[in-house]
Amino acid sequence: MLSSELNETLTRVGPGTSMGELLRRYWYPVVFARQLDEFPVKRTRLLGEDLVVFKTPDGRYGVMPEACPHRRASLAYGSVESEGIRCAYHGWKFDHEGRCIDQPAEMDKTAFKERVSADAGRARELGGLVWAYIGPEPAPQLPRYDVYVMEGLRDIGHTTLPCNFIQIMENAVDPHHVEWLHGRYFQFLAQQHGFEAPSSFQRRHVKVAFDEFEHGIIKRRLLEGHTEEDDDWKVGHPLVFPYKMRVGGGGVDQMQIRVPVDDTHTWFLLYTVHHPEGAEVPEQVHIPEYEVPWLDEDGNHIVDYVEGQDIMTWVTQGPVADRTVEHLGKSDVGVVQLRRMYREQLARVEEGEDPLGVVRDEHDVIPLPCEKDKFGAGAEFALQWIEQGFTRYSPQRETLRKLHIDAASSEQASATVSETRDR
Amino acid sequence: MTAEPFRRLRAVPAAPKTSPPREFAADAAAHLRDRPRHCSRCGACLADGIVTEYWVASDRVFHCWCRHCFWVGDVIPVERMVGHEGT
Repeated sequence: MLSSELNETLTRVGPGTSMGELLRRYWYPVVFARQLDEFPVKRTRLLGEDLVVFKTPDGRYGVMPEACPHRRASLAYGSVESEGIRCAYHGWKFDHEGRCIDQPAEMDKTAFKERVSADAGRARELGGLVWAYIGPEPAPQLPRYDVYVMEGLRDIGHTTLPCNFIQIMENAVDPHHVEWLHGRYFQFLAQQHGFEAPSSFQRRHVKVAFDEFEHGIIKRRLLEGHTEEDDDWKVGHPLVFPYKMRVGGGGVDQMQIRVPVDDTHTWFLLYTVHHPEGAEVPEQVHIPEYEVPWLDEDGNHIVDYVEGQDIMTWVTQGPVADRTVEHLGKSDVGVVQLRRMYREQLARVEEGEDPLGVVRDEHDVIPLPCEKDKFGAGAEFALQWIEQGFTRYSPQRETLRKLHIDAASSEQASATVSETRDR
Repeated sequence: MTAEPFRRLRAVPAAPKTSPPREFAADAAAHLRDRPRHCSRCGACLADGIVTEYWVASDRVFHCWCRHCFWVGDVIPVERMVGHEGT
């Protein structure tokens, strides 16, 4: 339970708010690279600001406020040219840094151009996503977390949810929900509707732990029948501060990305890489990205797959969860710890320091700890992921399924050969 | 004592008016009434730190972080001293 002013502080993300200032220290994906290859300018919204992101013919990306500094017409209808974007209304042109470099209807030799620069951010491509930074200069490095650069078959499910991103992040430090929401509740639905629920989610949590590290919080769980040597405890997986969670297992690695669009909307992406051991990964020209549905035609939540269940809980908490009337228990200490972390990092920004997870050093890749043998389910976990998670909506679902089955068969064949040889 | 600690001990801002669901109004009011106002270690105002309340059985636990001395700790109001319970 929080006071309402603390709840406001943690959940308001627009310009000029405390949380907005903290969140503007990080890079965010704003569009898919494919979209700008098909048409070079696109409107987007991030941290309560309407923006345009564009790609010039030389391959460089730019991002700036959608409203033209001249008469506030939308630059999303601008023309992209060699050095920047030109407003459709009167032809004012802005370069990647936001400098106004042409005002065709103004007289020559005027200094007017220098008064009207656009408040441009930075934009770059990584892993098939275009990322934007709209905070103070100097911009930090765009972190190359392992999932974005690893080899494998990529697959991105996504949707925009009508809720604040913090309630989604709180779910990332709430291990107990797995055995209930994805275990017991899934089982209940399976009995009602006559299908088989995935068994790996049903194990009871014996204990959970949360360790802070340089990129966020590592979450650990000890499940019934497991020991502290099992991956779920020994390795765990991280909440990547301030808006991501790294998960995986059974030859699948994923970054769950929760982009704060504004106070009451979050762009939720499931950036996934399939790379089972022994698999021959086919070449991929474009990464398939697809909308994950979460409401049925009657307006009810679709809850017969894992992420649909999560989405139901996040969205039904309301556009901004009212934390003045919640009742946290001891099993919610991860949530308590995360709120403290946000508050600590708000203070760091107010003191002029870089907050947690801001990367300044150049690097090739940032490896993150993540369990490989998830819930002790082995390769079976990947098939459950595909059949009973968001991947069932993927246009390449069958390819992914075959990839994991073929890899498992090849592993099994290798094991048999070695066994025979050993005899 | 210098002026600095007095500045830090300024009054906590009044809680804004909220209208919680009727069934939880008492808990919400109790939170606003009982949450610690000042750091247990340095006495600074906790308004710019964080105080989150959670429950452990019948105990109400106020998890606190002080922005001024970075103290992290729990404050538990005691209504009745309870010893070990027999099994």
